[in-house]
Amino acid sequence: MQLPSSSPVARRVAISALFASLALIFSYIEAILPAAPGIPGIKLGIANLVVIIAMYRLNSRYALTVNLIRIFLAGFMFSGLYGAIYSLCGCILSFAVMCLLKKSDAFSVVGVSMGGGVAHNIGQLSIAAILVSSPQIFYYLPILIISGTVSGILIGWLGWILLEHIPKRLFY
Amino acid sequence: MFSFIRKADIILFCVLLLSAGISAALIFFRLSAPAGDAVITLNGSPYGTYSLDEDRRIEISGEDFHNVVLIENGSVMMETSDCHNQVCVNHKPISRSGESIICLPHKIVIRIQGGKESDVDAVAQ
Repeated sequence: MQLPSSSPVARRVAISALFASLALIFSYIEAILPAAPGIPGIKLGIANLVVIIAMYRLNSRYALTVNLIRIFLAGFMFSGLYGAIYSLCGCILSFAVMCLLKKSDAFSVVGVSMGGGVAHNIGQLSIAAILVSSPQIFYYLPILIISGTVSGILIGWLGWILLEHIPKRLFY
Repeated sequence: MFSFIRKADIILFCVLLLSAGISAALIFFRLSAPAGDAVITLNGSPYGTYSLDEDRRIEISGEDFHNVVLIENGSVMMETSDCHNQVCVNHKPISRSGESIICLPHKIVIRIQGGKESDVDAVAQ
């Protein structure tokens, strides 16, 4: 497929907008799927798939933009102000960790996504501990580290498949 | 199929599992839940709230009754009561959230609030 030629920046902006709406749809799917029974906060984080693709194929600034647009829209549409705050803290920490891991150039997509998943959960747990002002909430930490690792691996693996199969020239 | 996995990925995976294990171990062995409070009501109205952290003896007495509640090692028991059936005195010491000792003849209720969840409550969830 050959896209009509245009300035690279315009193309990237257009792709970012598409990514943001795709991430929003993934957030919506996750919001209507029933959560894991018993333990709040265990989610697959499908929206992070889009952020990872954006990070690898555009660059981290576009990926951050996609992520922020997604958080604000999804937060206010599906979960309210507090949901957005939780989401924001988790995503910013997760994004920072993923950037660092990717920059170190030692990790594959799976490693980056794994670190991001765990960081996301730790970020959310920390803000929950502050908002609820109860350190006992850290009892969830072991479970959330494991769930973050598992979902990070799954998302990273899906991300790797997509990165392999989506033609690179679409992005330049 | 998984040849793209790098050594650093596997190291990170092990580190994460290890930290999950360590934090779980810390929670189970060191940071056991703080003791709750013993809430005593007399004749339906609040009498007092006492922390289970502190060993103490609480005397509850009126015109025709005299009870002594003992808080020791994080649990509460009715040490003595001059009621006729002695059900409260024979009750085992309580320490978990939601448990209670009731002295019906004297209308005294001791109930644990906060602190460790009772096993039964955990199942009921």
